[in-house]
Amino acid sequence: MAMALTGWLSKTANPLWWLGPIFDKELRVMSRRRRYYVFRSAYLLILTALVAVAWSTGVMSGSGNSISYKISRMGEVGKNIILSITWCQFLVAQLAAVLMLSGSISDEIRRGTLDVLLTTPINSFQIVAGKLLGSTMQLLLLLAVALPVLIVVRVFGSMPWDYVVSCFFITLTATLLAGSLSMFLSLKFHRPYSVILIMLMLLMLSYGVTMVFWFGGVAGSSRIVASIIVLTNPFAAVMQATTLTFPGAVKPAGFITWPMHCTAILCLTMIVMFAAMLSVRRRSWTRPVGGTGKKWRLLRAIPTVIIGVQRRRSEVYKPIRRVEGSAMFWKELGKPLRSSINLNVVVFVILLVCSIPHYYLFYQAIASKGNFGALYMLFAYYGLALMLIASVRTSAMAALSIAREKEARTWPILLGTPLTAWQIVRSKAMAVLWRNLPLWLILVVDAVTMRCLTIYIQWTRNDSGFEWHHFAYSLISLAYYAGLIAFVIGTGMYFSCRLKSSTAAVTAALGSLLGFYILQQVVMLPVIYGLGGKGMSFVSIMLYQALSASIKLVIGLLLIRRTTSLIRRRVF
Amino acid sequence: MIEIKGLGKNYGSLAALADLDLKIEQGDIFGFIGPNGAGKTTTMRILATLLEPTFGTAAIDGLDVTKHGKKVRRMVGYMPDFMGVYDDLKVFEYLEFFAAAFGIERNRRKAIVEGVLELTDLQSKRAFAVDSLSRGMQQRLGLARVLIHDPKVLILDEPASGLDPRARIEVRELLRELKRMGKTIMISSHILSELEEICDHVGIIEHGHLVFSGTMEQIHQRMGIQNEMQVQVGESQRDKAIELLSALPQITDVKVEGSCIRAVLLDGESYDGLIARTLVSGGVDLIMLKPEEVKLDDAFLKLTRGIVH
Repeated sequence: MAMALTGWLSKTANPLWWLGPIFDKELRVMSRRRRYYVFRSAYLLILTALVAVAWSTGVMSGSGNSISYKISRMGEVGKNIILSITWCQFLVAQLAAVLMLSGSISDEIRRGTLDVLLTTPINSFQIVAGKLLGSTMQLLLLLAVALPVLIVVRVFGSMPWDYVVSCFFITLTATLLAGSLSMFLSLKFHRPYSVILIMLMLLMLSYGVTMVFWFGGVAGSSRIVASIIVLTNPFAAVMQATTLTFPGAVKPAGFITWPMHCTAILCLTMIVMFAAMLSVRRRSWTRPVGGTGKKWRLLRAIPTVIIGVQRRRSEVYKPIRRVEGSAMFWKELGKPLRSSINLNVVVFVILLVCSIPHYYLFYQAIASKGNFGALYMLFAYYGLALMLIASVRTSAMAALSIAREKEARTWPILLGTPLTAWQIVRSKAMAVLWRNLPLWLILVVDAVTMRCLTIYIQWTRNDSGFEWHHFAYSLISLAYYAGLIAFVIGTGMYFSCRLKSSTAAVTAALGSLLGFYILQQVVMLPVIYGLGGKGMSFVSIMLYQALSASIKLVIGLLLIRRTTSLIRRRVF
Repeated sequence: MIEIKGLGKNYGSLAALADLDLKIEQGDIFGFIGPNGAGKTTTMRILATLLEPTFGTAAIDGLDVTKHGKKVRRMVGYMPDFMGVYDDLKVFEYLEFFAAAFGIERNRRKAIVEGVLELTDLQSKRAFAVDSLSRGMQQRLGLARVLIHDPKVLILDEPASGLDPRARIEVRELLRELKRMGKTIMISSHILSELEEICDHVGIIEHGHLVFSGTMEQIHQRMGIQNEMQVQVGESQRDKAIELLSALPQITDVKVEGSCIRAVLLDGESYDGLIARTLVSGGVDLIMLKPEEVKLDDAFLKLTRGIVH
């Protein structure tokens, strides 16, 4: 009895026993995958670019060129570098954790290895903890490696210790939470890209709401709301830490400190892990009889809405739909053209009805010449959210268009037909655009309406006469959307053709979208900013938009052309 | 109909095909046999215009597959080793989609789809989702799909793999029917016995080389498959039976395996009457006499190991 107890104690006292062999296996596998070397290189590049931009904007801005002036700016540079790195780490680490764990369990189920794992003495905790920590270990190490750099640079910027340490721990706990949520969702969804899209939407939603509350003044006025937001939302916690470093900034009214936030997030992570532990074995049992039932219907609707995956039409009584027009276009639509037109009209009308209050508030805000305040955030984020949804949806659909055929092994069959590469690419691209048309149309309507309202108010008040740039800006907005559409479809289809897995294609397509956005902010914006003289003039903004639109259009069209030439070369 | 000359395909440093020569006549069912990784699928993919050869040429009905890809695709029906299905289409929609992809006019499509559904006995499944079909049914659907544009040549990569015995027999019957319709069929498998009943000609490939090509009779001769008779007599009379059998000039060897005696015969004749008469007249009580089944799979193993050349 005593020996057994001693044996059990010595076994459980070993931390590796708690993590089990899965942790070891994950570490081995991670180090062999090329994609993680690519990720680490890209991560270092982004950090380097951020440091360069922080340096250039800190030292180059202003009129002084003397050494003493530049030295006097070092404090500003240090502050910029720390802020850039901490925010970049905070966002990238969470996204990377989502990507790494999006297929952690579903891949095991698809390969049939989960059943094998469950027949071994490995317990559910070891599976869940091993997967989570094994996958995020390298990420956590990357975060830890940057810590001494931040501590050294902190001295230049006179940033408090508290900021660096709090951001590190908030990022750490947020990464674990994002990873555990991603892993939990991978139990519920067959496809990792569904998990990625759901997590992206959840992150954007939670952070978007925080931004609106924060900048809308709610966080500064309501103590309870501010406390709840900071306690449960890592984004708000980093915002709070950042705000506290700026003497003149609006302080949040809440009473939650970063250790309290980190404890709450860790508790949340433990709850998610516990739920995942309970689900692992159940998932294995339910798989042969068709999934987890109706409980996840609401969550399942998210990827269906985002990427438009059709519900299985196995019911015999549903009518057979005949092929009309282009065969490829018909197949890609997944429904008869007439009902597809009807659906697009209905979606457009719904979006238009939702936008009317937005336009009315915009009109009232301008007409009253009042301070925009919270309304400004609403206007800005409404358009941004619409554009983000349209871009992500179009990009994901384009990325799935060929990769899903490869996964379903229908691709060689399709290429065995006399359809030309251009016919296939054109039909798929048109179908992606068609299925997202209401979103893009409402963006166009949004841009034109805003400008028309502004012109109308100026005209009725006879403020400053006829403003030609409103028309020019409307036209450039249209060109910007055209460029963005070409870019997201082009990159999506290119990666769909180049990569074998749909998850890799979606990740690469969304990554390229994010990468281009960062490139715009890091390279193009400072150049245009410099051209504009003392600040962003209307002309420089239009120049920036036109340049961005042109580059996106050219890249998108070139990638579509490249996809057409690659299609028959990358069949298997 | 199909002519391959010096065909080669390299994947980096790995040579999947090396100087392959092959000729298939019109209306033949050609069995393409070889172990896993021998180059069967690569050859078929090249013929289906899905891969480009590194060197050499392949032509179907006189058209080079690399130069006239679109024309070749119109006359070829290719069924890959693993049949992919669109999970959001029904059986009829799936077939009509491919009919449209092959450029068949809308007013002819319905009749053609109904025709191939009837031929493959899938009429009752026309409104079922493709991914709800069983493996056997999906293979039938695959065959229906390759027939939709009435191709002259069918390239079928292991169409019977993963099927139960009943489904295998059904596929075999379907292939016979297609042969009667005058199609040239190239069918791959790594199981020789699966093809011997339906193939006119057989080609055996290993490491990208064709090690044998000919009729089934030629393969028997080439491998020197010996005819054997299995004889069973009473325990006490076994030595006498061996003595009698060994004395016969038509029997080259006599072996004892368990309770049976195995008589290796000189040529292709069975000599069962002679053996029976010899044993009975010699006073041996015969319990069983039957010809030994030729183990073609063993013979195939011999060939692909390079034992027979």
